[in-house]
Amino acid sequence: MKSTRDDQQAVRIWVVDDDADCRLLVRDVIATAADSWQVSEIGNGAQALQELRRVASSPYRRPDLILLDVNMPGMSGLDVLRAAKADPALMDIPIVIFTGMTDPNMRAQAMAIGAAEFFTKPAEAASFQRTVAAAVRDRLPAHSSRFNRAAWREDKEDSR
Amino acid sequence: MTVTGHVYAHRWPRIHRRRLFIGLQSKSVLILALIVVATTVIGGWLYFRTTSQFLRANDRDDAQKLSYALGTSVMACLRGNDSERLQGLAEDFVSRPGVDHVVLLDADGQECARASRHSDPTRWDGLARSPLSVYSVQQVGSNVLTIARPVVDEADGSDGKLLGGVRLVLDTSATSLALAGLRGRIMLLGALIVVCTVPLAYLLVWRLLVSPVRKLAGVTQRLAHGDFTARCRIGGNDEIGHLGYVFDLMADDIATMRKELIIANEKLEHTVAKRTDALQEANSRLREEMLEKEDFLRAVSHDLNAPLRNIDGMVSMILMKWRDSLSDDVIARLDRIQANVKMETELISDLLDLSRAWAESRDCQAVDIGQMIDELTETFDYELRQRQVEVVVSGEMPTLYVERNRIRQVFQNLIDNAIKYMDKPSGGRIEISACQEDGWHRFTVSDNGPGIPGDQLQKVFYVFRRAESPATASVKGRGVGLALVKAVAAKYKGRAYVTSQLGQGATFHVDLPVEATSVAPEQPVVR
Repeated sequence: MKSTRDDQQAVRIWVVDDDADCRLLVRDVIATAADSWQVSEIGNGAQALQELRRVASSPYRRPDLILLDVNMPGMSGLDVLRAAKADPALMDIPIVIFTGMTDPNMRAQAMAIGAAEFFTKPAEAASFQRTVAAAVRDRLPAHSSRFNRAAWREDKEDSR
Repeated sequence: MTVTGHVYAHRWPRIHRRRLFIGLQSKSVLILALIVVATTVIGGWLYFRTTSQFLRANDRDDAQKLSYALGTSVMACLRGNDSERLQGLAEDFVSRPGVDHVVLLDADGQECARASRHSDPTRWDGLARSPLSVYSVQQVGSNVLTIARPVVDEADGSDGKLLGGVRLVLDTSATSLALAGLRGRIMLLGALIVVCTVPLAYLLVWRLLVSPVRKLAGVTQRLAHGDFTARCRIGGNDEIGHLGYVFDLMADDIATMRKELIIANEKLEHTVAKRTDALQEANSRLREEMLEKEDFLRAVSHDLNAPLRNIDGMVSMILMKWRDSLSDDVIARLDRIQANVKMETELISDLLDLSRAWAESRDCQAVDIGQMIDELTETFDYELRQRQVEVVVSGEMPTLYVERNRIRQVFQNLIDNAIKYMDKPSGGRIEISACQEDGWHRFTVSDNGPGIPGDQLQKVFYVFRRAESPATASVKGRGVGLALVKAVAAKYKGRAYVTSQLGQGATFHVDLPVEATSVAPEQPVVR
């Protein structure tokens, strides 16, 4: 059972995807590498944006990384990305697009809007973990202690 | 330049200007003048001659009468040889009008009396030297008539004894004058006739012929230059009038035809515009449909693949996190789950390719088949070496103007099949060849694998069908590859078929028509 302080210091990652199985998988992959990290799941783009705006000002609640799916009902992942990058309160949060769409133009489009990285499903677990770690590390240089405390297991052996 | 030198109302066509232009008027007037002059001259001359002859004959008659009268009057004196009386008679006679000179001769031919108007009577001495007994009349020059008449005794009982002769010289200058006057009058009349006729002829030719013809020429030129309202309106009840009338009718017809042509043209343009619009609309609808289809396919692909991804991901995760706590049986079955998921994913991908292949061609490029096959052989390099299969390429590989991905899939599937179904552990051989024959590109991919039973040569091309034979049962195939080959061949209006002997390998043929796959000349060859 972690203390409140630990909770506040933990790395927070949000996974936004309408597919529950997908969210579970991502959680599993991240947990395999860093089980102290907090993974929150949101199943809807509009809801995610709403939630983001709510916690934007709170340093202990805002996410350190958002993993965003594209193909969602209502607001698509790219719309959420655009809205987040347009909002000065949210634009600093790194967003990694993680989608099953095979449109060749989508990567360029997403990077142009301001995504930190672009992944297609299925992604190889190791490289996915590396990318997530890199994105979070970039985000938290000043809080490197927080990162180190997070104990990212880089050289963990994976079965894939 | 016309001979008459008039200034005409319109310009003659150029072609006439290069040659000497002699107008109809000049020609006809010239001819007419010639005819009139000739006629007048001949007529006048004939008349003059007739009159002249008549008058001269008249003079001779007069002379005869005069000489007879004189002979009669001097007969008695000659008989009596009364020379005084003879002289008196001669002088009386000379005073008659028209008598210039009288000479009376006796029976011996000697002059016994002489009288003359002129002062010099000897002038006439040379004249009338004819014998006494001969009667002669002679016109000497135009003004002098000489008569010599014998005087014969006519009294009863004298037997016509020659008494003497009379010689008369008469003055016929009056006749000459008259004749001269006549000639002058005739010539004047002739000149008048000619002078009057020529302008008259000129005018007639102008009115009847030249003016309407000029008018017609002018109107024809206007018509030729596009003025369809030009009409000549030549009246008259002769051939020219008829020509003008017929010409006007023709011009009416031309104008009507032109109007009809213009209307027909406009209608045509309108129809063409409508058809073009309809075509453009159909085209854009088609493009929309194609885009819709593409979107649909992409959506289908995504939605079909998502659960499979999840299954695969979950199993991977299980194996990753809890491998140590799982028994081998469980792990084996989890592996089987993953293998099936993989197969399903690949099947979906193949089906999507197939449905795309059935869609319209687009993005055609010039593809060098030879180079493409080389690239494919490289891609399969690992499998080829592992299975110890060699690939031989022969024949002249053409460059086709096709969709690059589709044609690559055709050869990829054929080569993949050949490798997959190769039953020899070594010595396997794949021969790829191409030739061009009768307007067809003929490709073959033949192998020395197990071959295909005769009753299945058609069925292998069906979707999800694979050859059922012991040799192939162990090979994992999805049954979509050949269906795609057939679909692509059909799209380019070609054909795909296989020939095989069970146990001796199979040869897959793909024939593509040259015109359906020709390189567009302006396209550069893209590798």
